[in-house]
Amino acid sequence: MTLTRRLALRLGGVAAALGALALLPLWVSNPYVLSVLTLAALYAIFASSWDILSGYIGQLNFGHAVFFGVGAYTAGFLGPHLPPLLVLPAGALAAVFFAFLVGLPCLKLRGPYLSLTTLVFPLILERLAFTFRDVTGGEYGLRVEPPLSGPGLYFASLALLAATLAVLLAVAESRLGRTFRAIGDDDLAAMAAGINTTRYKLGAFVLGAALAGLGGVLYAYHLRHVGPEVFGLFTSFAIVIMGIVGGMGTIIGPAIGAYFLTLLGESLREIETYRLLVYSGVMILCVLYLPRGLWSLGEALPALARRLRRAPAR
Amino acid sequence: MSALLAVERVTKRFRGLTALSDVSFEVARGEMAVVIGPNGAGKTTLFNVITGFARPEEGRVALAGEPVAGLAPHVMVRRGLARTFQIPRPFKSLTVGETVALARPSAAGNVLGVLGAPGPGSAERVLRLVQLWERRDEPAGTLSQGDLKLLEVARALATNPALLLLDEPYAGLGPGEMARLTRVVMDLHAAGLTLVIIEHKLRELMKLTRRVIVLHYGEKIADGTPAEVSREPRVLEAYMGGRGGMASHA
Amino acid sequence: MLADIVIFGTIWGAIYTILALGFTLIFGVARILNLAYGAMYLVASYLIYTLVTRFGMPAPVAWLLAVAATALAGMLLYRVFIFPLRDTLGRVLIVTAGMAIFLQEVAVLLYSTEPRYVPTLLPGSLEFLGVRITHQQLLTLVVAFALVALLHLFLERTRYGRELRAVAQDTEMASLMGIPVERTYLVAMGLSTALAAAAGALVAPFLTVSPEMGWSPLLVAFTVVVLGGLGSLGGTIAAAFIVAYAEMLTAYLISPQLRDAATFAIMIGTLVFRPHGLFGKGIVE
Repeated sequence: MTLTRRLALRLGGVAAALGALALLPLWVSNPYVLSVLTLAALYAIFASSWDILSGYIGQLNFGHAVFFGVGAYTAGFLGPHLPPLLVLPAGALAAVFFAFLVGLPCLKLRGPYLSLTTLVFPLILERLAFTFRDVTGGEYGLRVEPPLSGPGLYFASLALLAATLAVLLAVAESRLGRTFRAIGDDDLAAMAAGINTTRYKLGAFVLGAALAGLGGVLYAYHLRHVGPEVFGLFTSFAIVIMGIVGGMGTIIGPAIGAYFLTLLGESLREIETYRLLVYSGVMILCVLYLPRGLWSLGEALPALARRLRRAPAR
Repeated sequence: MSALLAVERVTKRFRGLTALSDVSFEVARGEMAVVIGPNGAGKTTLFNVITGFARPEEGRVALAGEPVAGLAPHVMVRRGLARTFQIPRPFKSLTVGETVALARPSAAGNVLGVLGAPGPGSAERVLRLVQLWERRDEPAGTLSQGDLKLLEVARALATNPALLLLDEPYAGLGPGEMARLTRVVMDLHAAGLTLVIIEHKLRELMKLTRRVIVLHYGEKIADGTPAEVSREPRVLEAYMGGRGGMASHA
Repeated sequence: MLADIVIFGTIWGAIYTILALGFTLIFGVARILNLAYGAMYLVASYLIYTLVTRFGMPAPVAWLLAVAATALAGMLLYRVFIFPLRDTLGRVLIVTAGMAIFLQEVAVLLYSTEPRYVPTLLPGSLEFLGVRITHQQLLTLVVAFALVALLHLFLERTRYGRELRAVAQDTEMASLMGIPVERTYLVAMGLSTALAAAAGALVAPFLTVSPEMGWSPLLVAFTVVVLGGLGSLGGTIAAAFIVAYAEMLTAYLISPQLRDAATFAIMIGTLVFRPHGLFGKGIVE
């Protein structure tokens, strides 16, 4: 299968799934269900934008929360002052700024050192958000007046998810994506082939950050609020867990992981506080028994089907 | 100055060990030099220092007269310096063809120009040279050890180097593959590419080369024609007495 | 205020030394970055809380039991979760992160997010240079130094200790010399966890015990190791005290909430500007 055909197939699949989701409000008018699906779409944006650096280049980023947190706070700060259509790009720009701030020191590092330093940045921002309470509202955060809500916000989130997946899939199937995968396979060999690995890592980081920043703005609209907890460990880890459970390095996998875990979390709503317990338990099982995530189930299906078809002939 | 590569008094210390000690030599354009020495003599470290993967504590390296100390590996590639790794490092997610197409050609080299005009189609020419063109759609991870080594060479060539460093290219190859590699090396040498090769398997290369550099415990102990070097007492001592004898490798 | 900074800096420096040594044991020996390290600290603290307040056990007994139990738990964790994955360091990172989150959430499940109080071993306090220091805090200082001395003796004088050091220096050579490498890793893990547990046990009475308490110890330990380098006891101690004093200075002079931000800044700064640590024996190759 040629690359462009594979890309077209994947985009088609994504379009079909998102199209179906977009039509859902015709049947379901329960605002709670819509709210959960909006949240799932937003987490899907965060998880797939995380994947381009962590899954493709294989540098596990534990601090993705920085970017959508910054996007969310941008909505909080600038929402009252800017027309809504400008808040989105502002959020993306703020996230990109932080991508450089975090990326330039951290991306030179490799493996666990990169993971631990990226873990620390959202925590620093969380502390700063608590400390400068006049600006950020401290632990109470900021109220956000959403220009969109309910079905409107749902469609906006789906649209952004569609755009995110389209961009990331196009990148993944391009020469740029192959460069990313080469760096992920063996960064020393990539350097020996003349590739400036730090620049590409930074590029992937910035791309993921921009998309997450956009998602962060919508996230603030969804919650009608933004507070320091957006930089907390829960959000960073939730993204990583969704990415791993869904299947790292596949872009669509983490999006599926996001939907799966968000819906799972909601169905356990009575024990809301134990959501992370379930997530982390699922993730541990995944790492041990299904290392390539839910996506690998999807890949295994055709092979399984082939084997089942062959069996009766024996 | 006709020296393409100049290594001057390079010393590299590594966790309390002196891996290279005051090593100096020059390689002229178009020359093919072979670096030999027992295991642990510092040969790969030397390559790492030359190509920017390691920084020397003392000494200088110059490429075409320009000092290149401390430059990052990808910058070295851009300056026309390419290398292979002793244990092949393939891109397992990519196919053979994609691997070679991904290499960034440098403007400083001349190999691709000599093998035919550079540009689209270079990947094909390089792969045909190492006889991997038919396997261009196969994932790199499925290749045999010998083919992987040739893919390493192909990837290095695709960067259009002026100087190619090969790290033990013959290790692990069967006789057929060795012949293929020798053919490639001879073609490249005839095309005017400057080569520095680390090798244990001397018989093959001793016939082809006129320049041998011998390292032992990080020091250069001999530098000359194969005949001169094999008469040098320190070389005989290094190989005959103690471990890593020449006899055990050739 | 200066006296506060110096005195509490010293106490925390001692605790951070213990934490860093425990971290070095597993990171230096097995090259495993155990993100669940802080969770061991957490488990020990909650164990002591439970044993003392819900079972009425006397504090010193609870302390010893908690450390021993946590050490066993650490070895079990290694055997069940880390050992099968040790070829892929990325997956080890992920699974230990998962364990850390899981254990934190178990704590939430069992004890809720409210902070808990563990009674002190030694009630009372004294005044020194105008600063009120509890006897518990002094005990912490004494015990911490005793532990460092014990560890040093273990590494230098016992067979297990020597094997540990050999494996840390050169795993291949050690295994060629007949040292059972996997067993050494297990011992290292047990010791590492025991030290984290000891630190948790010491600190529990004068901080509060809450589910998020596991992350700071991990990050502090990592920072100290990055700053001071692996395998150098003097370097680790010096780095631990530098970090402790930096935190105290930040807490007293700038804001107590930015205390760990100081540690994070040191971590990032060191990795970016001096990756070999202050004393040149760093971990980044």
